[in-house]
Amino acid sequence: MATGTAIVRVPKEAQKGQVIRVQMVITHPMTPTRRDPQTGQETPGHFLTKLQLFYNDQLVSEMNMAAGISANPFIALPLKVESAGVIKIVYEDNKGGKWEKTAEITVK
Amino acid sequence: MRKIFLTSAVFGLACAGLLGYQTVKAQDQELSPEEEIRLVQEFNRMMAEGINPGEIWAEMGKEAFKKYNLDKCDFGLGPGKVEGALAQLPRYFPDAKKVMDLETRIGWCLQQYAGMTPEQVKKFATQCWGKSQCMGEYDAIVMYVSMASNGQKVNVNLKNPQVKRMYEIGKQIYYARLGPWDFNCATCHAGQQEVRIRATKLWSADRPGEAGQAVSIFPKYLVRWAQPMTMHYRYAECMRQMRWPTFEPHSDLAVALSAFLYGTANGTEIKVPGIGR
Repeated sequence: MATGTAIVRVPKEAQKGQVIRVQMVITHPMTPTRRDPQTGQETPGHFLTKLQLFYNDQLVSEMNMAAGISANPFIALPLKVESAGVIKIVYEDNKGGKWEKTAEITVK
Repeated sequence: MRKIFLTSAVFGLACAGLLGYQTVKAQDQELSPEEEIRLVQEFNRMMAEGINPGEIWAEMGKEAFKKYNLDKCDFGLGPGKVEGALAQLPRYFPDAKKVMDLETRIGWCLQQYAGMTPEQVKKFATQCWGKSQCMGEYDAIVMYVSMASNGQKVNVNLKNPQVKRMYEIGKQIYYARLGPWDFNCATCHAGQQEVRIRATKLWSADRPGEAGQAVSIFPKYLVRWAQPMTMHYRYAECMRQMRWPTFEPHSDLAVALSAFLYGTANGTEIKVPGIGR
């Protein structure tokens, strides 16, 4: 288990037209760029920059992130569901890492 | 204002982001201490609603559990059975001829089934102490075993003479004044009067139910360290803050304290992982 793994949680079942909460936790150090006051040496930061939410391959939401967000961020987004399908999140960081995670939902 | 913040798309920006928002607000309006405490408690409640990042360790622990041959380990319910294991620990183990709590038992099993020496076990158990954002396998194993007992009630068998003896020793340690500062656990965690460290209310052994609420959520995820804290790490930190002699993980001292705390917490529902600032 390393940087970039995630848990995505949605309700197992939802009514048609219901607004659900898509909850996720991403493991990431989220360290900001920092200059040492004594030596002046710069420590490069490592943080998530972008998160996209796809619902049945359609881009629903996009979020730009930067340093200043806590480590292992917890994010919750509202989503109106009309049909059963796959919810996918794609997220990337400033060091070129790119990951994705999916969750499925059934709609009555 | 907070309601709008809740429902907006950036609701979950981050736990720290939220805290930052509230701290700024607190500074702008110069709130009273009571108001600040209320804000902190609101923050804790909001954190408890969502997914706990500690659950990531539980997934990781499932693999580590097999990797270190712990499915042969008997937690008192049969080899490899972890459901409900935490609820009935500490207990007396005839094979080790000792009373053991969860972490001591894991350490003993690592020696027996994973071929580790006591030094290696100590190094393994303390690999994440004093760090942040550390994905330790030991924490993961403890988290995995603990989370399997979710929803069950703490039920330590205090009728067993060995466990009862450990309970009494633990009680003595809890009220023993030691070290250069003449501290004991009861300095902060006893009495009817409310004790605080900054804005955090401390639990008290004398107020009914509070010990159970404090104990039943361990190991808990700490936002400021971005990693979970196990029970033995909590003991070590408390003892360092009290300037007691250095704490040894998996020692009988820890078992005695666990016997006292979990014995006091009997009947409380286990909710692992907890979350703290």
